[in-house]
Amino acid sequence: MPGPDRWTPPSLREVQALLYELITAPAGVGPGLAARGVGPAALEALVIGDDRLSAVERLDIYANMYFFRILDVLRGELPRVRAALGDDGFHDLITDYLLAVRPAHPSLREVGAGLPGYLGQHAAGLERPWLVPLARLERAHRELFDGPDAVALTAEDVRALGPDAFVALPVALAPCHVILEHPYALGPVWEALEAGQVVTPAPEAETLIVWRQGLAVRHRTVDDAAERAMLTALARERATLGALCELFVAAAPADAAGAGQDGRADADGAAEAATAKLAVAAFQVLARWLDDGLLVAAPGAPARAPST
Amino acid sequence: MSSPSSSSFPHLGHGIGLRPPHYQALARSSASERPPVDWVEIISENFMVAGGNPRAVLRDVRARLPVAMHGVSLSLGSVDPLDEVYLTELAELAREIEPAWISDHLCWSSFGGHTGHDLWPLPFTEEALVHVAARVHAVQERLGRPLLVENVSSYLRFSHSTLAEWELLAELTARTGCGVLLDVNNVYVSAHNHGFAARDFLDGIPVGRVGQIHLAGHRDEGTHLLDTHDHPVCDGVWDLYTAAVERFGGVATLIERDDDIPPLDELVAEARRAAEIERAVRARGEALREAEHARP
Repeated sequence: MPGPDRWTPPSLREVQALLYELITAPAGVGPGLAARGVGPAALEALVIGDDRLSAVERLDIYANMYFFRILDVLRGELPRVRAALGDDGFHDLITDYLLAVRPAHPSLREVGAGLPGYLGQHAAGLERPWLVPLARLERAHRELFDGPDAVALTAEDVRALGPDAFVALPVALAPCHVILEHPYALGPVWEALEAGQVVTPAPEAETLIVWRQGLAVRHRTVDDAAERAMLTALARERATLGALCELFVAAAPADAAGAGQDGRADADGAAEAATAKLAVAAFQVLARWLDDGLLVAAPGAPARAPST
Repeated sequence: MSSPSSSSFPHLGHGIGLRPPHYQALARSSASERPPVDWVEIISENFMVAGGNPRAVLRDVRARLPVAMHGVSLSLGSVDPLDEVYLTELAELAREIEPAWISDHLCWSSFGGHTGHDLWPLPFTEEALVHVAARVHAVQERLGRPLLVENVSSYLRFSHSTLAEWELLAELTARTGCGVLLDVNNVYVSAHNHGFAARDFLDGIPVGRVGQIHLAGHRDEGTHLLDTHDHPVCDGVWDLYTAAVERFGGVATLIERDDDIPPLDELVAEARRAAEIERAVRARGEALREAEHARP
């Protein structure tokens, strides 16, 4: 350490500025010092080294803990992305991510919040674009794990209503959900990716609903166009069960209920039968949503019909 | 199980950290089954969430046991402003679960609006003391209660430190009224890494200001000890704990384990060992006092 006449102790702010820069330097403390155009002596004036560990080695302990703690968290949070990229590729991704999106939230829970978006700009994501929605899906599972609680409507709740009360009941999606739409069929390869198998999802448009039922986070594909319409409308704003059923009927493909066969769609009997069939299908969707714990009673003012 | 303590913080007995592998066992709501520990400590940030399993477990556990909140993100030594959003969420959680106390660390972990998710060491200077004291005051005012401040394990020292760590901590308690969360393992690790006598640290902390003790395991890296919380408490730390109990009396003690978490029984056995040490120290003290009274 230089003598007191040659070295002025830094302020607390200066100490923290220097240490933060060196601890978070991508290649470690030594290269971090070199990037500043100084050698180890610059740190040795501030940090006491000894025959066991030099000043640089001592600060490197913190640098390693900074990176590997976060890497461990993200490995656990994005196991499929990690498996797809391999350990080295994932390590490189996180190195770049931490430089571009420095952690700012006090909880480690949030350290991966920006990773899906960042992956979209990173070489790994540009090379394999399906990794981006995969990261979003894995991140959604993490976020919903401890997302907001809600009391879900049950089939029994709804069965207890009379027909008029049923159609007028305002409902909303349980708050702990997210709807993901992307151009890759992730659902069919989810488990294979978890098992570390080398698979590539088919380039097919997919809508996923991810939600927490009780304490378990689940997801499933929403293949049916009419159900998708109901879901996206209800995600925008609450609606009555009656309005949802109407929306389902309106959004169903023309041939969904067998209407239009033999060019006689305008026949009254056939149209009524088709509508009745669609209504049954709409009820089946709602029954599934109730079983899945996706619906809650909407509070507040009378519900409006959802816009399409 | 409480026993007299020289601290103004209640002696809750001997507990463990509430960690996911033991959620189910500790949250069992059978009223007839006595919890295997006296109290638990939570990592505050892990429960500052909207809902789901962590909050459900915490509600159940809190109904059965005293809970202390231990944070890692106050960044008391940082030159960044205190994080108001974090403080609000911390206060909200405290209002909900009514913890025995709230604690955090004598360190900094953020700079320039960014966080390192680590406990970085401070230079032990008057400047740092004044800075941390002001922030402890502010936090205590915000939370409406005294804070417990924990010594951290460290791997480096600053050449311009003018105080020993224990001197800074002692002065911090005097200036702010905060208590000390004495991490005996951290004292052991830092003493090894920096070559000071661990007992000097204990002797430098005022009796009556230690509200809680942490015990944990570490890893020997050859050149230094690393505070990993992934091993059982070692004999050297148990010896130092005995010395701490001799100096500070019975203090709420907690076994911290964060990695390679063993079955609950193993942690409970460590908590019971701490209780046994405390009983033995107390018995020795009573025997000495009786001998003195009996002396003609």
